[in-house]
Amino acid sequence: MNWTMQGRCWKFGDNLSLDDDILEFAKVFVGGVRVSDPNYLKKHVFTNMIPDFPERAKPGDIVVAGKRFGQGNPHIYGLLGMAGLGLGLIAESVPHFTYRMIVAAGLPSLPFFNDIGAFVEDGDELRVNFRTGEVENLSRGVRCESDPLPGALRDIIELGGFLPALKKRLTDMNTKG
Amino acid sequence: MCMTLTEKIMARASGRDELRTGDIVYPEADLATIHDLYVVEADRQLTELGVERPWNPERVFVCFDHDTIPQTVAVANRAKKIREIVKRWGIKHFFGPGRGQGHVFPMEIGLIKPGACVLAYDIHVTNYGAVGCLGLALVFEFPAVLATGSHWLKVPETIRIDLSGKLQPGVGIRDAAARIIHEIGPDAADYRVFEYTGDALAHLGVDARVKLCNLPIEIGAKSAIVPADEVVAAWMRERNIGGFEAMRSDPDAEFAETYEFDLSAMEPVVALPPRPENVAPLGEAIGVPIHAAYLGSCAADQYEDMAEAAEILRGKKLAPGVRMIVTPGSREVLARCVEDGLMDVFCEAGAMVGPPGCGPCAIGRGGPLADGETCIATVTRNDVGRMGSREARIYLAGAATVAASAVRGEIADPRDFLA
Repeated sequence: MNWTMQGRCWKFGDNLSLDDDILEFAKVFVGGVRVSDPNYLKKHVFTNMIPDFPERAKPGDIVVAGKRFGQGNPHIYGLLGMAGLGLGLIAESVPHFTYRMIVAAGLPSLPFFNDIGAFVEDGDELRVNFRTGEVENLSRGVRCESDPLPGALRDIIELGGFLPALKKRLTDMNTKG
Repeated sequence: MCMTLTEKIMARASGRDELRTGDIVYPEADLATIHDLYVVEADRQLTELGVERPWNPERVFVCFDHDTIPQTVAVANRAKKIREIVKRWGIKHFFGPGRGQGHVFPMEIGLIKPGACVLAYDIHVTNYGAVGCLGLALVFEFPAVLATGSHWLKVPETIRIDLSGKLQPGVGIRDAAARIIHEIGPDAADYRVFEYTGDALAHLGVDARVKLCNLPIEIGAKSAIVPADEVVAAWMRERNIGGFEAMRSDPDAEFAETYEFDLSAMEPVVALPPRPENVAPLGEAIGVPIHAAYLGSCAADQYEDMAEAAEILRGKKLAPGVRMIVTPGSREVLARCVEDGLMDVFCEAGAMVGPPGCGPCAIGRGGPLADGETCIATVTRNDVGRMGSREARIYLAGAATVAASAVRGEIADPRDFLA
């Protein structure tokens, strides 16, 4: 995968909730069964905040959020939808469960980027290297950086998230006998 | 050796003599728990992985507590499918609808023991901390547990919470638990285990301890636990449950932080919409008109919660225009409520009693809120849409406050009813 992404900055505030702001939980159910297909979930990402977000967002766009992005009941579906749209994520902070789920969803992220909000505005053009933690604000001609995710977790994202990584773990276990 | 209780349990489950905060370990689940909303998804995920059945069907617990009574044919069809899956997997601990809420009744029937390590799909597994068991949730990554019996976990730090004093009349343990999560807050709670200690525990039974262990997860704690003591031993003896083992943190174990709370100084509180940590003195919400009241969910559906509400409701009626739903946490709780006359109190007051299970806390199942309605409830969370309409507002409170408010038709102080 390409760890460098370039696109529009979608800037949000603090405390975005998993079950309402990021993706309304009721939308996860189809015929009473939870759907975890990113291609379905992507149609509902952020629509309670920006109704036409899924149509306007393009692969490579970067969501920039404040503190405690993804607070609330740890439902992964909104993060899977974000991955389905091909987005990247930068946040000032995330709760630990969301940290786990970002990796599980295979979503390229810089989840603990102090004061990123002071550096970007909604609509700015950003280039982000999620492997090194470097962010360039092309609209303003400035750059900054934070710690990237640890390599072991980037490996999971590289494989496409939790399920492909688990598949590999099971195959490795079987191969070793 | 100087380990916290959490470290001891995780070390034992990981086959290690010792471990430290921050270590990455693969503890094997003594019990792996899932509920009805997840079984079909789990089966599909296992199939994708080429795994036919869980690693050890004897250690998997499946219960129907979210959609107890299907409201649509689609849900009924899913229920049928779940039964087929459970049979195909050869699950030993399978409990059908009406048996109870999965974070409550397994303790009552001795499935959960002190010192056990339970890995769960659902976050409220922390309830089991009430009997000294470590409950850890993995949610979306749960297929790893079903396929292999374990998954990676970072050993969390522990916060020690010393409790002293006794609650005043009209103040419930839920009030204290809410005050505690408010004071500690999401930043300090994140990825830590709350371990409760102190003299006050001698007066707090398993029902009360469940509240202490239920609420921290809402602000991001990894788990919560009360070291099993004589109170738990006596509780288990009463139910003919064997396997009691006292386990506690070593005297020189390291705690990330220590907090002290005096229960006698606690007051009734509410959590204002739309987040459980928005805890405020009850006075700030007194007089807010309500349309619905709900007593139940894994945060308040045990006998003591039922009794706390019944004490307020006895001989009274719900206010005109207010509806109230009560869901006991298990068949045992329901039976005891019938035996002790609590069901008469609820019925005479005009409340509806639903089947044991999660009740409307599960996104409004069996009693959703309408647009513009306000509800006071003992549920776990008050996010937008948690009990139905996104245009409804949910105030969280303890059983006594919910009952008092249902009688008044507006948020009310239970202490006014105890004169």
